[in-house]
Amino acid sequence: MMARKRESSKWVFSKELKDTTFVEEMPENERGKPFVVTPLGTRIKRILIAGIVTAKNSEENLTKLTVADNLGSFYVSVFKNEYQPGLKEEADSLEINAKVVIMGRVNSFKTEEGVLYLNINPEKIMHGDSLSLAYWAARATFVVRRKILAIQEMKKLESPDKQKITAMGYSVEEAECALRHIDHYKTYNVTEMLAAVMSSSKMPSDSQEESGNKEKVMIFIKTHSDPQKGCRYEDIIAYMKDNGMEQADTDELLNQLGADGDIYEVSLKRYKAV
Amino acid sequence: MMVVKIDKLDENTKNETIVVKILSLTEKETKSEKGEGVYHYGLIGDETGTMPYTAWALPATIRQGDVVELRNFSVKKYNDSLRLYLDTRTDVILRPEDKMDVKRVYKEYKIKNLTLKDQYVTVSGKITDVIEKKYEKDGQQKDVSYCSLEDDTGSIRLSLFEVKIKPDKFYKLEGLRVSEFKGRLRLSGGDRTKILEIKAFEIPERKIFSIFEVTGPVDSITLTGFVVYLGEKGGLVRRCSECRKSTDDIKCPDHPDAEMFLDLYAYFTLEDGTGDIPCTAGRTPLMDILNIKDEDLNLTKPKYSKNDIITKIEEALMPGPLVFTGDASSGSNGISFRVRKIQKISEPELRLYSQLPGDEIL
Repeated sequence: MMARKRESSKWVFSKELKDTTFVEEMPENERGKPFVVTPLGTRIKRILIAGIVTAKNSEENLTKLTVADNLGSFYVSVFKNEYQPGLKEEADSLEINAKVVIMGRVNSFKTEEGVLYLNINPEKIMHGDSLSLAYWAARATFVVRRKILAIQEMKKLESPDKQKITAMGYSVEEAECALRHIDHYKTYNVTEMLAAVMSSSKMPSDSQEESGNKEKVMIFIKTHSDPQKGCRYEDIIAYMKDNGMEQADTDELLNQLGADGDIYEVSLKRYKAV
Repeated sequence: MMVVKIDKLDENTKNETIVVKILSLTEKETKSEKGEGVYHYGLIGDETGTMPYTAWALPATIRQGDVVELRNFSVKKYNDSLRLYLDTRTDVILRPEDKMDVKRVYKEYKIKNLTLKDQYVTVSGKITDVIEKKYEKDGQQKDVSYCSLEDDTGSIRLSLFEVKIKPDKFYKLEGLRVSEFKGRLRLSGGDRTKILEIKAFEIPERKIFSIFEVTGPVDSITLTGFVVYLGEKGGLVRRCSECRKSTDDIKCPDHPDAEMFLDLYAYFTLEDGTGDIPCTAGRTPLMDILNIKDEDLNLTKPKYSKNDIITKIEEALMPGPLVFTGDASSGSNGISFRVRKIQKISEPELRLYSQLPGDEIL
């Protein structure tokens, strides 16, 4: 029997996973979890994520974690099991705001109404740091950008052609992702995804003015934050406007602070300092 | 009989006859769910040029250097160049009396793109680490220079027979032969190799690859990523100084009189978002990253236990992103990476890892 190659993990932002609506059907004789196909055509069974723990709920046999990256949240379920006895303890030991790198299997569940829920069952939980998160985000950005470029090139062709895309310098996997995108997510707006990723991956500038503005936003969030709900986006925008900063620039700043791991989004448009 | 020449072949060539010299002949075994088999590939040539070929079927009597007549072959484009294909319908007729002068045409390659599929090539780069030796052939003393050839995409070992070359100079070398030894590619050249000194070009200190780009053997490249799996049998090992095999016994079973020494070894899987690659790291890179000195690995009085070393390796490799410099080689299980240096990623270089060619600083 031929040895089966290890399924390498995919590095995708939470937004790509959140927007996923397609799950492959399992072949009849195969066991395990089916592949999910994301809007960028990424075919995922194993995933590697990096982010900040923003919520934790520990029960006897299950610990649920919410891990936030620059664009949203991943949902992680860690079951007590005899094969990896230390894993649940590892999850339980994580504190809120801890930086983590998690590799695991993607688990899908579809409701009767057809709503798809995806969560991650970890195989490995590693304590991370700001550098780990920034490196992961940089690589995930690189991967997303290449996939979107391959999709855009594929869409320019009269008919989809994998060979033509690989001849342009894209990998076979990137060409196959582009094909799957066209098969399952033809109307998905990849430009919007690219804009979100690029905005979140802007590296901090060293200018004094920017540092000063960051400091102002951080202090404001820390001092105007509801202990549960965090600080309102509208309040931050209004405060920074009083300090002479336009909404778009404040948005940029919030994205950078999120990318640096200094703040996170507790819920929609609510921020907390790490 | 109308005979077509290599320079007239294209993808529309059908029902033609050609007479060529087999310049190289390599056998490759295949294994699949359908069974096992062999095919051959290499380079053919005539008075007008050369062309790579693949022979799904070839008479067993054919050897490198033979002149053959081919009928019912096909020509297709593969990897951006034309390739001649022979199958069970192709007639291969040996012409033992014929001699042929082949016009050599060598395609120019970057080091990272070299493969055994095109065995005669032109490569430009910087010569380093020259070692000159003498060897005897037909009762005569001959010169050979062993060195490294480096360009902006990688480096490769190079042997030059009867050719003098200066270290740290840049050359264009036309007509080098590509071969493989222990999963790594190497180049060789001789008195027929055309050597031209050229202007120096920039070679980056680190030749950074994404894992998906490592599709064949190439030396001196840099990968980054997270170690996602660490092999359990690595760590502190006892090794025989004679055969260098590791053993848990006090003496080497094959060399009981040889001295034993303590060594460091790790094998792991690296991921960077574009794929994974199995890696090995030996004594030198591990000593650096673990901050261990030679005297700490004294066989009779080691400073660290096996468990200490395993913990130190886990702590050094597992939590964060790292930079690995080394050599990619190919084996029966695909491509693997032999690490020569491990470094921590610094914050300013992070932006490099999300950039695409043509990007300004993000």
